[in-house]
Amino acid sequence: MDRGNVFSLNGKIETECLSVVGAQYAPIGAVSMTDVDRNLNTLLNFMDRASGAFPGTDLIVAPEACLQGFPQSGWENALLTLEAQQVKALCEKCAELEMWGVFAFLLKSELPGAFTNTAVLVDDKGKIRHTYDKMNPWIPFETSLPGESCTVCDGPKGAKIGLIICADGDYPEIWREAAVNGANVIIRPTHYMDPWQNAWEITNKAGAYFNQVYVVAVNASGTAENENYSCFGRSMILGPDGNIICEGGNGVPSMIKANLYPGIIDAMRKQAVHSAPMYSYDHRGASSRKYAGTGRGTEDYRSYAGTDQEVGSGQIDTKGEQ
Amino acid sequence: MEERPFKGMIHLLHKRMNGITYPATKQEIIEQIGAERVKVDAVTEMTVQEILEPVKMEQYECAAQFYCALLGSL
Repeated sequence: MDRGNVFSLNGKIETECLSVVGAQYAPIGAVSMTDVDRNLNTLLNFMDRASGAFPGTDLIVAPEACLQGFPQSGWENALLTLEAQQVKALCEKCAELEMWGVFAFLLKSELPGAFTNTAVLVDDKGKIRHTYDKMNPWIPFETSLPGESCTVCDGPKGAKIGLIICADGDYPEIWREAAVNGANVIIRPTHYMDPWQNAWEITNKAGAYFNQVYVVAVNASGTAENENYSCFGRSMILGPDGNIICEGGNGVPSMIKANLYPGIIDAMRKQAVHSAPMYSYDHRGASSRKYAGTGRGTEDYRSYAGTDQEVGSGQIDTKGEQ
Repeated sequence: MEERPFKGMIHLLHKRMNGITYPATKQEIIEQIGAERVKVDAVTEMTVQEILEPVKMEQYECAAQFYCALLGSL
C-alpha cells in the first residue's frame, strides 16, 4: 500500500481504518427541479447500494454537480441552496445510514445571477460540517464565483479532509494548500471529460505524491442526458506514493471502494526521512552545511512572485495596470 | 580479502532511533538513546551522543529535519 522511501519508517503507527466508497454516474443536465429530483433519486439509490455492497462504509463521495450536471443552457433554473429539500434529503440519508458524504452542488449566490460550485462534507448525523467553494472554475465555460481558500475539516476515523473540485486539481497550488492545512485525505469530485483521460490520471497521481496524501477522486461517468460532455468515469482512490489503489470503469456507472489509514499519513509526515515533501518544500537545502536543519523557504520561488511583477514583455501586468 | 568501506553508519543510527517520535529535542534523544553505540567505520564505534555532538540545531519537528540537521553538520 505504501512503497515508502529509502529509509525504513521508524516508530509505532496507530491508525483507524477509513472505509471510502465513490459512486460514479452521469447526472443528467438539470434544467428544472424535476431534473434535480431525478438526479437525487439516482444518488440516494447509490447510497443505499453502498450500504448493502460495502457494509460499514464510513464515507461516500459523489461526482461534481451530483444533482445538477452541466447542461449547456437552462442551468440557472436548477440552482440550489444549502437549505433546499434535495440537500436535506442527502443529509437525512447520511444520518439514516450513519455514513459521511461529500457532495458538490451549484449554489445560488447572494450576488444576483451568480452562483458557486460548492462541495460539502456531511457527517454521519446529517450535519453539514464543512463547505468549500471551487477556487479554479473551469474558465471560460464555467462562470461560477471562485472561492478564496481551501481549508480542512476533521472527518471520521482520523481523517483530516480537504475538498477540491475538478479543475482545481489541474493546479498544484490547491492540492498543496489543502496539504499545508493538514489534509491527510484530499477528496476531488469531478466532471472530467474526454479528451483528458491522461491528465486525469497524471493530476491525481501527482496530487497524491507531491503532497503525501490519500486522494479520492470521483468522476461523472457516461454521456448524460442533456449534457454535451463525455465524462469517462475512472474514479480512483490513490495512496500517498501516487499509486492507484482502485479504479472505476470507463464510462459506466459503478462504485469503487478502498480502506484507507489516515494515521499513516500523519506518521509519515513526522517520521519519514526521505519523501517528506511537507517538510522539504520549504526547507530547501536543509542538509547543506550552511543551512543544516533549517534550509531556505519558499521566498525564492519565482512563480509565486508574479502577482505584483510585470509579465513577459513588461507591457502587461497581472493587475491589469499598464 | 578485498577491503571494503563500511557504509552502515546511518543505517545503524536509524535503527537506534526506532523509538524516537517527533517533535523531539536533541536532549530528549540523548536521554533516550545517547549511550547506545553505533559502528561508524571499519574500526570505530561512537555513542549516539557523540554522533550528535556537532549538530547545532536543538529541536526537530520531524525526522526529515533531524537528519538534515545531522547530515549538514557532519
